Amino acid sequence: MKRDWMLQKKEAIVEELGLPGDICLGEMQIHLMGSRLARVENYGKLLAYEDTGIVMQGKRCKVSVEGRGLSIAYFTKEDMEIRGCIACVKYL
Amino acid sequence: MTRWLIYLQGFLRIQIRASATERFLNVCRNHRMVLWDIEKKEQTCLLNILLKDYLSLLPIVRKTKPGVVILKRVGLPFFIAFMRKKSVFFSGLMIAVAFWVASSLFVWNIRIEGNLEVSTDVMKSFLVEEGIRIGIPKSKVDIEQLEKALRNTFPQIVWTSARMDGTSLSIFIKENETGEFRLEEPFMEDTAFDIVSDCEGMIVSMIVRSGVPRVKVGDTIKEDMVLVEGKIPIYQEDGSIREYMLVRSDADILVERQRQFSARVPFQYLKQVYTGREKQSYALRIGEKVYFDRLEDAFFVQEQIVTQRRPEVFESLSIPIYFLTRTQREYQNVLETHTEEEAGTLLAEKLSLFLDGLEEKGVQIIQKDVRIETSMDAWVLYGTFLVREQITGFKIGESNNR
Repeated sequence: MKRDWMLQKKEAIVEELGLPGDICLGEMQIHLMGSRLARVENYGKLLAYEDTGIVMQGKRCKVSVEGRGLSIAYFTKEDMEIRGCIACVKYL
Repeated sequence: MTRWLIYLQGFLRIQIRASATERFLNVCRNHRMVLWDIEKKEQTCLLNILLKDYLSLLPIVRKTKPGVVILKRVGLPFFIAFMRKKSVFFSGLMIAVAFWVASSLFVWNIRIEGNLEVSTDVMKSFLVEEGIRIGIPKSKVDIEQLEKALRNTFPQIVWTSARMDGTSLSIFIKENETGEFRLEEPFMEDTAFDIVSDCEGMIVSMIVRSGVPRVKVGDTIKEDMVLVEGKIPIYQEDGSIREYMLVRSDADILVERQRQFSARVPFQYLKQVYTGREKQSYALRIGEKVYFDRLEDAFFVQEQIVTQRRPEVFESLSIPIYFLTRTQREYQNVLETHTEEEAGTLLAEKLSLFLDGLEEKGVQIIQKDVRIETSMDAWVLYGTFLVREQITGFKIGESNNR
């Protein structure tokens, strides 16, 4: 509870000061380009990788990108790019 | 650009076990390695990794035990390693490339076109005197200076153009086709030039554009006679001559004259009869030097033909490397006699050549009288032709005083 309260305060300050949320709050960013390409930044680690779904760990949640024929175009410390036929993006 | 950078560093396509994929990828990511083109197959995962990252994979491999298998090696480091094994081939390739590059800096072929009166050998001797020969650096060829020197040295040349085509120096010239020749001395302002006859005959047409005519149509002229004088008198009011204006005479003078021609065909002649025996030998010529040439005669009496050809590669690059083929054919000299028919044919050919020569010079033949006689040992053709032709002789006037 204390943690949630702290988080809420932090979010309020960031919003009030107009600071970028992804840098200050460490939120994961997902950019989708149609249904063929997804660029993911600020993720923690890769939890699962299959050609039908990729699961990543963010700071506060998990994200699953599901589809068919998924491959990782590049995978670095900062970001990664997922290509293939993306059906949906789920927050777990 | 990124592709080229990756190629320069070199990368590998590796395969790892599917069960170890996520852990392996996360550990690589934590070590700040870049992985790309990651594909999941049924039991395996394929990915690309830079060579320098692969070399630092050992602790990661111990940790994650992914079962790494290298599928492909791409990039400059692997190419260099491959080259080291084939060093002889690649050094030969480098030497060949260096040879082509170096040889393209020199002149390997000199081509002369358009020359008729000035023979190719004379032109080549002139070029050698000017310091232009096969093998000189292209930077030493001054095109403008060469063109100027050609025009100044050969008065028959009215236009010249030289250019470098790769390693070949091409010289195109145009000679004076009218048959007139330029004065040996340049035209000087205070000098009179007279038109002088170079033959005997009768004037049938005369158009004077400059100068004072000393003869008229119908006059009979002799050789070295002044026909048009380049000294024009300027008269005073009382009729006396104040001074002379010196000009270059210019006129079209047509003269009717006789030309003689004779040709001879002996009764007997030596005919070359080939025995059928021949020998061939081969040699190599590089520039002016010939190697492996057979110089001795194969037969006592023989005819020798040397043909040279250049391989197509050198033809396009104009490097003077030729393969020579020397063919020596034996023959015997047999004394034969011309029949009357053969002699007539040969004499007719000679006459035809002479008449073609006149036609080329623009000489008009009015009348011809040709007869064939026999002397002690030959048939002789005598021809007398009444022709009309242009006077082309010039000389500096005797008096150039104003």
